[in-house]
Amino acid sequence: MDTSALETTAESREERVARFERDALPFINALYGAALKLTRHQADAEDLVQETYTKAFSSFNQFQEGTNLKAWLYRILTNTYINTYRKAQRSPRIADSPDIEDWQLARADSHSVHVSSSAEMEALNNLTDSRIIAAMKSLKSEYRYPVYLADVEGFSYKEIAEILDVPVGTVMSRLSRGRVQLRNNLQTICGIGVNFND
Amino acid sequence: MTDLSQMCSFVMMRINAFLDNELDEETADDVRIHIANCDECINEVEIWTRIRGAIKQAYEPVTAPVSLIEKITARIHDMELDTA
Repeated sequence: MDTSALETTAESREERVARFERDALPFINALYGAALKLTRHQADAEDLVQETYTKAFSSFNQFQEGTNLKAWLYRILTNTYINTYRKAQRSPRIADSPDIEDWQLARADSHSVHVSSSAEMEALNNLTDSRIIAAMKSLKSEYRYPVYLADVEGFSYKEIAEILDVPVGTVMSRLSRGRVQLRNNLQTICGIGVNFND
Repeated sequence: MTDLSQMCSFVMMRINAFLDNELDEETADDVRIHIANCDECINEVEIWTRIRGAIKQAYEPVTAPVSLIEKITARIHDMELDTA
């Protein structure tokens, strides 16, 4: 499809604006939701989404037609968040961490809590949204955000890796740790956790 | 360690990847065969399925404020293109 590629680069300003509004703007609710999760403040979330769309529009010619526009927008959002907000806090929350150790720790975690599965199942049957949100909030953002991207947004590991700009193995280890911690948190919140290691 | 408990460890480490459809077909089949024959592991699958469903359900879809959409649209219309 060489001709369509040529047409794309030669598109007029109006065509570019129309294409952006048609293809990119419909993701605004999802992006705003993610921005709220990241910043936890409505005004900051609005600023983040606006900056994301501004950057996305100015580099829209770099976006490869046919690839995942939603993941591309999330990547811009995440990078903007890291560069703007995280730098201000000087906190390397989304920094790389060794994969093997994470896997081992996640596994160790899953063995440190002993709860009968029937008690846990019963607690899960009566789980309220506020409890699950509380369990998610108590995760470090390094773990919370990948879990959110996977379970709420339904992104694949490969897409999450693109969004966070980390290797797929890192996504897997963060998801694994995040989910195990979330489950431990839920057990504590529901009053059924007996952690023999603590 | 028996073969069964080794297989349980193997499966338990991969339950979420299995539910995410991120395992290769051969490994996914190993997991399916094992959980069909292991009460403990099928319980784990059930627990994770409920937790994951609860997370998805807990986050209600949000709607961006109309004022934000208007601001962004106005901004885009005013912006210069890097390649005209």
